[in-house]
Amino acid sequence: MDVVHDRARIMVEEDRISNLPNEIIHHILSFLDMKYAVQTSALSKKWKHIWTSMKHLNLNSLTSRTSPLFAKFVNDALSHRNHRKEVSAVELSFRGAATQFAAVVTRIVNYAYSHNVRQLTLVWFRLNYEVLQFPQWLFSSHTLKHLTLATHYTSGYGIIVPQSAWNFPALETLNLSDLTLSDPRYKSLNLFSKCVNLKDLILHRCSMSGSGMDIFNVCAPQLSNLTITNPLRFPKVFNVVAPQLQNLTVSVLDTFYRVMQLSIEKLNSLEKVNLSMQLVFSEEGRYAPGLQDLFQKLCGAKFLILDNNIIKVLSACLDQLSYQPCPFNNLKCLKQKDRIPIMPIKVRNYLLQNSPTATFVMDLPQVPRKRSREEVDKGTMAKKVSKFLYAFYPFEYIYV
Amino acid sequence: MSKKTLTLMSKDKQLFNIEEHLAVQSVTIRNMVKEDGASSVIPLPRVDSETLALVIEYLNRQQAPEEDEDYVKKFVDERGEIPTLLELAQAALDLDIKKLMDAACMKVADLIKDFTLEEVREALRIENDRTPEEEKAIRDEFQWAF
Repeated sequence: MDVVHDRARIMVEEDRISNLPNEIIHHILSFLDMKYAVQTSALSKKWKHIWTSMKHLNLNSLTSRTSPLFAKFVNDALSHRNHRKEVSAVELSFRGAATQFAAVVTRIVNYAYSHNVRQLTLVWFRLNYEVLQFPQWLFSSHTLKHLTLATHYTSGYGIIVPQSAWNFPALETLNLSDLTLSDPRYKSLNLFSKCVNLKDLILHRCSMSGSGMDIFNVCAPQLSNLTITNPLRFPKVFNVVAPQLQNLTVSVLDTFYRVMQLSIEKLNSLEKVNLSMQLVFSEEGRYAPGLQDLFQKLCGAKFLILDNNIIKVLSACLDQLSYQPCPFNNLKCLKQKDRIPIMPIKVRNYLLQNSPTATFVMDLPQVPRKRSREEVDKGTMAKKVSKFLYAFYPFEYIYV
Repeated sequence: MSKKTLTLMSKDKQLFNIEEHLAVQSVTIRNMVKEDGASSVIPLPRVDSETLALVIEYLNRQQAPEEDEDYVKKFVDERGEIPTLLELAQAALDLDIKKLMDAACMKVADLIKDFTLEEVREALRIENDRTPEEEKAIRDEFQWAF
């Protein structure tokens, strides 16, 4: 009885959503797949055309049984869409062989660019060891502000991108994951020189050198945040010309610290530096010169965050380092990323010797808490993945 | 120095006080304050008092910036009823509070994402004003999406 009563109560309540502004309905649908959005046309007469003026398009090949069906869906959806409405964001995920998707990716990106898209996300879930070559025209848009390009799963740089400067004058954030950013034809690469408004750059698991290409340039006059994590290949010279750089995050293998020459010019705005190292070879002493060189270049940083491996290296070669004064002279805060073990007092004293007002912070929780089951699992999973990677790419690591 | 307080009025004429520095998380209020100092009462003709009370609670939160995302998520999770979330979305749109708008709409999307059309109609109280023949015609027209 109660159920019947409840049902009756629900039915007499007003239809709130159909009377809300389309902006809210569009916003709700923007979190759902475009197929779902199109299906809402059958809800009621009013809903028939609501989806057609959506500005945020979510496309996922997994919602179609085959790639030709997905291509057909994309074609139909785009041709029924209201062309007078701009597209603000397009998110596209596709899984399968590169050849099956080349045409549909082209169709979608073309549509997005011709409708003044501001945010574009392309994620490719790869099944095999194959490579998708993105054409040059895909790297030119006057409206694009946020771009994410990523390959997912297993190892290595699945997407090859063009090597002449990318033409994104409005671009502010660029997030690249598992891409090949190298070209054997050139010794040096400068991809972002035309991205004059670039503020945030993330290079995750990218390959940035190979067969004779030694120099990777990041020249961006407005760049404020630069993050480089787990590169698969790292260039001999990583050249950063970013006078506005505020935050630098580097998490690379120990061997990269030994060989990399980070060439950084005039970092007057530097605020925060966050350094991590993955130790493969337990020869901590070898990385001291590289670290010292890096510290020299980052000497104006106000916040310095270090992980346990960096601290281990510093600890092992403190005698070598102490011949010279510590380069950091402007630190406000030194922070240890991992909770244990506590940074040796002599390492702390070395790092803070020229920054008398700096504080040392450990990320201690205010109330001790037990780690949840989920976190524990996450931790072990991450470890498994990284071990797998080391096993898979020993050569790159050694030869870089 | 005492903190400046603003008064907001819901559509059912209830008054709510809030400190100005918290109220200006709303871009709409921020612009009003800039223009005329917003000395008098700010009317919100599309927001009822129940919803406005929630919005005030949201604006009054005292969260560290790094925990704010979690707080906003929890805030909408705890009020997971679709009608409430839609009212919150309407208020967030009128007051231009992006985070609240995103969270409320995302929660609604999350609640309806696995529903059939019939279930969506029921959850959102949408009346199907088509005859079965008309509905079939629509499904045929967009058959590539079904």
